[in-house]
Formats: sequence, structure tokens, C-alpha cells
Amino acid sequence: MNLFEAYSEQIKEHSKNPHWTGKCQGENVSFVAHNPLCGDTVTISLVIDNQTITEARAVVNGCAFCRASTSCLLSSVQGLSKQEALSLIDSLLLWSKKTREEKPPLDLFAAFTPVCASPMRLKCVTLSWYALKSAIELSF
Amino acid sequence: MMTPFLEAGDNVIVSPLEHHANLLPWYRQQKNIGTLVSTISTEDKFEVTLSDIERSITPSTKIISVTHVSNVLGTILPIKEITQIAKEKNIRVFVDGSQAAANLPVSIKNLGCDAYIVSAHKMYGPSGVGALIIDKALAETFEPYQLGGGMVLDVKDGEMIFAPLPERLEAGTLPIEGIIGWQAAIEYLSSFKKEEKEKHLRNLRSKAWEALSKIKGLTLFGSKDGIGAFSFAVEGVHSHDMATILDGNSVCVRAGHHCAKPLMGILGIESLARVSFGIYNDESDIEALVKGIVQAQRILL
Repeated sequence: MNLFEAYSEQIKEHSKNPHWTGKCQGENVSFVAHNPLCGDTVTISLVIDNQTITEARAVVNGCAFCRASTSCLLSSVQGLSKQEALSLIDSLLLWSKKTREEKPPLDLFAAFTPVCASPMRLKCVTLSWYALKSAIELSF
Repeated sequence: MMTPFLEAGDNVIVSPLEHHANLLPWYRQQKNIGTLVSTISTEDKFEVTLSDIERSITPSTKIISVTHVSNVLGTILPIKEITQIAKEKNIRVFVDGSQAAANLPVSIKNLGCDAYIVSAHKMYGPSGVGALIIDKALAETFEPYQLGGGMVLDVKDGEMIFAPLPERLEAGTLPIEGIIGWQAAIEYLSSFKKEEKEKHLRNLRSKAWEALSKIKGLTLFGSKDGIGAFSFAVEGVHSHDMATILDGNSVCVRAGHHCAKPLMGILGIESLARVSFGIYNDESDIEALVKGIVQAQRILL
């Protein structure tokens, strides 16, 4: 499969109209992740109330895969407890390394299967996953 | 390599177009011994003229260290003229020739610079090998920055006696297979007439420039009369997505900051896609490039 075929309708939609963008009002945790090799930057903004992520947003300066994966992740963690979100991210990161053998923890991420198989673009997908993980860990 | 004649307060001039390879060593020296690195202020963000350089020289300038050809913009710097004005002021000129060696007919003697640096992988050769071509009297003053086997005449009683040049600057086992591979690449390059090779590369670059300038939403970044590379950005399409889609069309471009982050800051952009031409390219590659860019716009916009 040519990687350009990975620009599915779902990825294009999430990259063009990403969900949960910007900075949360009342933000109490933030984290900036940067990939120095390509210049992509993800700034995570969270409102955490009593161990629950009541709101998660991000500002992304990056490629279509980076924007789309951030949008999908943020759509999946609203209202989760910190521990539930961390577990989801860990399982996503684990899956990203063996996408040929396993289905993703959430169907929403199946569109990223061919991208994760590309060593050149894997980090585009996972940058925001690591960023959110770091932001949550900062809040403990 | 430490330049022993530099002292605290001495000024090293670099251009805004430099690859990190010609910045970081000077920044380290600035931090370690207190030299001052200053960047030439240019009137045109894609060009570096002799008058830009003349304006940047101060009484404490000891070195002008610039690229011969920009790896992002293809801009050609007037090295011979820079060397002429530098010599009048007793300033050394070091040149990063990585992007020029395979594209321009280079005569280091004619350029008159004190040091000229080339990389094999920019000359159709293997990675990990390069050369520092330097004025011998100047090289004699350099302390080796790496220590290892084969660079000494003798080692005994806790003392080391360095070998003569060039061995004393070639510590350890050299990348033998890379050097042999580079020789093959140089022989291949030498099989083409220099002027014809330059004409071919200029012709392709000029035609690609013209073709891309007609694409709506595309901005060119480069010197129109340059050589080698130029870069571009397409509104709404990140350079890495552009590179991926072009790759699917068998067109390889580099995407990112091109190890020239200060230049990207001046251009006000995070990343660019870069087009460059080799002697094996022809006009059908330009057609494939244009087709791929249009496809990327169709897919992502």
C-alpha cells in the first residue's frame, strides 16, 4: 500500500476539522511536545477535576496525520479518569508497534494502521499520545 | 576543529542561510572561549550579496564562514569576491562547499578561500565521509579535535608526538569503504563535462521553478538564479504530507527544516518541501513533480 492511500476520509476530516482544539478555559495542566526532526509541535491543555479529565484540548502545528491523531485521541478521553486515559494511551502506543498483528484498542484508530507501519511517519501519529500522557503524569 | 588563532571578543561572521553544520561549531566556540558569532543582515531574504557582507565586517572580524550554495534556497554566494575583500582586511574565509561540489565547477585555488569543506554524500557518494581542504600553513596550527590510533609518530612515557599532516587530523580507523566508494563517485562525476553538467542542472532547476510558479497556492522559497535545490510550501498541505504523496508518485523530496532552523525563522515558516536535481534527472521528473503536487492538493484540500 502506498502511504498516500492512508489519507482516508476519516483522517482528512479530522485533520481539516480537528475536534477539541485550542486552550481550555480554566486549564490546570499543560504540556508541549515537540518533534525536533520534523518541527511538529503539540500543546496539550487539560482541566482535571478530582482525578477526572473534564476537558482536554490541543493546539497542533503539524502534518495531517498529527492533527488527525490528536483529534481522535482528544475525542476519546473527554470525561475519562486519569488512570483510564493513561491505560488507553499505553494500549495505543503498544498497538502502534504491532499494527499488523492486532486491532487497535478503539476502532476509531484503525485508520492509522498503515501510518504506524511507516517508521518515517509513526511519530506523526504518536506525538500527541506521548504529549497527553506526559500532561496527565504531570498532574499526579 | 578548534581554530587556535581565535580569542575572546573575536568576531566570526556567518550567513543567514547556513546549515547547522556551519553554525554549531562556531556557537560552541563562542560558548567556550567567548568569540562572537554574528549573522549577516541581508537586504533580500533569498540572497547574500557582497555589500551585505561588507556591511557586516567589524574591526574584530577574524573569520567569514559561509556556505557556497544554500541547501534550502540554492542561492550561490560570491565566494571569490568575499575572499578578495577579506584578504585586504586579514580575515580568513571558510566555505561549506557541500552543496556546490557536485553542481558547480569549483576551483578552490581560484576562489582563494582558506578552507573548503565537502561531503561525499552530496557528490553521489557514500555517507560518513567528507574532506576539509585547507591552507597547509593554517592547518599546521590546528590541534587535533579527536585522538586515536594512527595519528602519532610515537607514544611513550605518558607523552604523544603527533604525526605530520594530514595523519594527525585523521584519528582512528578511517571509513575505508566510504573513501573507496567516494573515489568511484568522483570518477563518475568526472566523466561528465563540468560546463555541460552545470548547464543541465540549471536548465532543470529553471524549468521546475517556472512550472511550480504556475501552481495556485504554492509559494517558492529560493534564489531564482541559484543552483541545486529550491524549496516550496503549498497552502493547506504540510510539507511532510506533500513528501509522502510525492513519494507515492516516485518523486523524492526532503521535507522539514533542512537543518537550517535560523533560516526557517527568518522565512517565518516551520517546514518546507525541497526539490533538488541531479545529473540523472530529466524533464519527465518535473512533470511527475507537478502531477504529484496537484494530486496532494486534490487529496488534502
